Order: sequence, then structure tokens, then C-alpha cells
Amino acid sequence: MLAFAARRLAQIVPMLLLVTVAVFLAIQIAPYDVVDSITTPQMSAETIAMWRDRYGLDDPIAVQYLRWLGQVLQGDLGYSLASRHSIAADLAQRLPNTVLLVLPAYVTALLLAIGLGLLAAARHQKLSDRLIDAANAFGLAMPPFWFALLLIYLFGYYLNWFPIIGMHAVGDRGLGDLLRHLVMPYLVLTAAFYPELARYVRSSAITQLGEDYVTVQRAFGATEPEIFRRHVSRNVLLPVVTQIGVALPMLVTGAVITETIFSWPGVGSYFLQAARAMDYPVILAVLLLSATLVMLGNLLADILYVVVDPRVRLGQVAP
Amino acid sequence: MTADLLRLQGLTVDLPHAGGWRRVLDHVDYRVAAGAAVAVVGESGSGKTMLMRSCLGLLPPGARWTWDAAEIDGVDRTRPGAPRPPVAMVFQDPMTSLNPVRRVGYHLAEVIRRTGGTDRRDVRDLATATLAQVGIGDPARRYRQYPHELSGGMRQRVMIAMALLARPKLLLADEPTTALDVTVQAQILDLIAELRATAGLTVVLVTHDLGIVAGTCDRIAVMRAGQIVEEGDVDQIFYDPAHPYTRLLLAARPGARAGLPGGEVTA
Repeated sequence: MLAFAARRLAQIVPMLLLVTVAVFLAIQIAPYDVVDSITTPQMSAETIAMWRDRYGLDDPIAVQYLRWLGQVLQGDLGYSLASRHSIAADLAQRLPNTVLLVLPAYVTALLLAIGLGLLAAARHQKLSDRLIDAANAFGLAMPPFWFALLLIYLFGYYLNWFPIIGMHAVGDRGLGDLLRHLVMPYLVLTAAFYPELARYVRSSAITQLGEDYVTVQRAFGATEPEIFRRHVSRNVLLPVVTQIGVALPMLVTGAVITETIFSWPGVGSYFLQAARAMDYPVILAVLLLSATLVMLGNLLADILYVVVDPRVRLGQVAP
Repeated sequence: MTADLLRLQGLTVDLPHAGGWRRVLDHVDYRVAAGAAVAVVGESGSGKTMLMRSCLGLLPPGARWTWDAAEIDGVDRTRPGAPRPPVAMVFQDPMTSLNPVRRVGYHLAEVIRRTGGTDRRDVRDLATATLAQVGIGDPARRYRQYPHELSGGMRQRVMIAMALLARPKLLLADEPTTALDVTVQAQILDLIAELRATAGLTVVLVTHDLGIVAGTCDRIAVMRAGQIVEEGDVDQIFYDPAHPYTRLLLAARPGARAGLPGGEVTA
């Protein structure tokens, strides 16, 4: 297990390098750069050239990349070129905000999906199953931003129950105020995460119910609730556990659109601002973080699979 | 004359098929005497398995079934709230009959709890004793293992142990050896025959392989297209088959032309 984890961790380094190279090249392809996004019509051509020179944007791509890489390898994520804030400090401030939003939404969505997915499978082809399945399909087809706009109209404008922007009202750092701000983006994200998970739970439970061992259990006098509780739900939930690993990167980039709509000061909206400004150190820092979590998450999923499923063992590398 | 342990009369089963109904059992009358070992033979799709499943009410969803009488051990199965019949079933494919993420012991303990015993230690002792009874070596270790750690023959023995723990009078074995290789087949059939004697079971063996019937059963019912076309003692069926289909089945055995019983009949 340890050797497996070590081997996989070693693979992460070259993968991350590849990711940063690809992102760096993609940024260079864009027809404008970060200086274009901070210039104003009043600036003289000399000033603009001075900024370009100061940021090293006129150097060859390879030089720029290696300079950035050298910094990062020393543990310095650098400064935002647009705001000149420390990226590490910005992330440290914004990451908890995103986690505060994404984590409860994901957990809610997962629990709802498990409950409703199993219920639907138990009532397969009956009315409640059809309703749940139709709602899942609708949820899957529904863009989160559209749902966000509906919520904003109903709860933010028409009923005026919840604030529509930000995390805190000006001058109010209280928990109640924070929760009031959290409600709508939380609902949007829950609705965004839920359908796919629910469909997964439902379809795997239906598959399990068709397995031979379920027939055998019936033959041995197990009641349907017993079969569900003692066999099917466990077999369905094992792979769901591994979803937790795959969902890890969501903690950083799970809510880009939702955060932007609600001006939630998290990593997602930070990333989107940076992308608009071609603020490449920020873009790279966020993607580096997210890519690391993707890989760690996959590793975690693989390890969880071995832990929960007795049939799976970590083999040696295939010859 | 002993009493019938199983008595089915006029059993008809229809399954939904392409918008209509397909008849898989057609007014079947079937009796099994207590203590007997009988075989039900026939080709795939002849209704053998459906007949067995009907005994346990294990028909596919949407099935429509009617009957004139259905009695197991003298209890009318059609009466609402009838107790579970003393019937256990061993299935065709031992590789998929056990829940892959539950230990062998879990399966056995579940059956034991359902039939009574609650003490944790008693449960394990009884389960390992039963594993030993069905010829599994090192039962304490097997008890803790997962199904995938056991061979097919071993898993079928586990299934038989589960069946025994359900304390049945009637054991339905639905092609219990089809998925196993030949040497293991013989062992499993011997085991079933032995348990029939020691546990006083009545056995119904479903198979499409007439070769394994002769040594294990006293009576044979031949099924075709949802009906029992011929029923009789093993000797009568093998040496003096009345129905042309039975003759075809006998002729279809490997080596039938080499002068084995029934071999002179050609299609």
C-alpha cells in the first residue's frame, strides 16, 4: 500500500509540470496579455512598454516559464500582476470561503442522492421512482446559473428573504448574517451536485437488485427491506465512498460559476477574474492547486477502493 | 405410499413478452413424494427452472400465475399468511450466488438467525460445523473468507451449507453442477445424495444432463415447452421411454449410440 502510494505520488510531479506547460502555452496563445487588462487610455506608450518590460512579458516564452517555475519551486507563488497582491495570501483568504460553500453543498447532495437513489431503486418502475428519476433528469439538464437566477429572483428580489451578493453585509461579521448569505449559493451548488450522484446511486442499486445473489437471498426467505439493508445498500455505497476522493478538487474549483454569480469571495471567482485579466501567475497557481487535488483525489479514491472492497487488491505493476 | 411433500396442480405461469404474454408453464401437475429423489429434465427454456422457482414464489417481476392447488408439506401455499415453506434451493451458478462483498460466514449466519439461534458463538459454531458437514476443510478459515477466495465447487458447497441451515424438508437443486467442471460435478452430486440420506431430505434435481440422473434419482419428469410430457421411474424412462421427445433427449446424450441404456434409439 505504501509503495503504491509512493509510486503514484512520484507520478504526480511530471504530470503537474505538463499541466503548467500546457496552461502557460495556452495563455501565450491569447491575443492580449495582463498589461492590456490594466492599461487605461491615459497611459502613454512608454508607460505601457515599461510595464511589459517590468513583468518580463517581452522575454521568450521559455524564459518566462522557467522564471515562474523557479519561483514556484522555491515555494513562492508570486504576486498577482493585476492587483500586485500576494497570491498565497489571497488563496489563504479565499480557500476557506470556497470550502465553506462547497463542502456542505456536496455533503447534502451526496446524502440526498443516496437516500433518494436507493428509494427510487427500491420502488423501481413505480410512481415514486418515476418522479425521482424525472427530477434527476431535469436537474441534470438544468444549468446551475439559470437556477441561480430563478432563486435570486424569488428569494432575493420578490420575497427579499436572502441577500444576493457576497458573504457579509457591510459591518456585520456575525454568523447569522454569514448563513443568510450562504443559503442561495448553497442551494444552487447542492442542486448542481445532486443529479449525477443520484442517478449513479439509483442505477447501481437497480443493477445490484438484478444480481443472482439477490434472488438467492429471496429464495432463503430474506424480506425486501432485509435484502436492501444487509446487501444491496452496502454494495451500492462502496463505490460511492470512492466518489469522495474524486470530488476532492471540487473544494477548490467546484463553484466557479456559482461563486461568480453570487460574488462569493472564493477561489472560483478569484480564478475567473484572473482568467479575464490574463493574470497568469494567479491562473497557474489555482490550476496547480486544483490539478494537485485531482491527482491526490484519484489516489485517495484508489486507496479507498482497496479499503472498502475485499475483491480489490493492489497488484504489482503489470509486467 | 408416503404422502406428497410437494403437490402442484394446474400450475400455469405467463411472463410478459413483447407486449403480450408468453406461457412458460402450461397446466403443470407435479407431485414429489416425501423422501424421494427426483429429477426434472428438459432442454433450456422448457420450464424446469420456472417450475422450481414457482415453489418459492420467485418468479420474475410482472409474471402472472394461476394454479388449482399448490401444497408443500401439507400447507396450502396459496393461503394468505401461510408460513414459509420448508424448502431451500441451490442455484445454477455458485460464482454469482453469494454477495461478493460479504464474507462466507455472514451469509451462513444470516440464515441461522432467520431460523432461530441468536447467540453469537452458537451461530459461528453451527455455521462452521455445517461447512465441515458439506466437506469444506478448515471451516473456521473459510468462514472468515470472501466468496472470491473460494473455488466454484467450494462456493457451491457453501450454498448447500446455507440450504442445510435453512432446515428444509425439500431441497431444490437447479442445475447445481452445470457451472462446475466434471470432477467437481461428481463430488457435488455425491454430497447431495449423501445429505439426502443423512438429513432426510427430499431432493428435486433439475438438469438437462440425463447422464447425471441415473445414479442419483429414482424418478424422472421430462419437461418440454412448459409441460411435463412424461414421468416415470428411472428404469422405465431409460429403457422404455414412451414419449418421442424423451427418446430424443436420451439419444442426445454423449455416447448414446455406443450402446448405453437408450442408445439404440436414434432420432
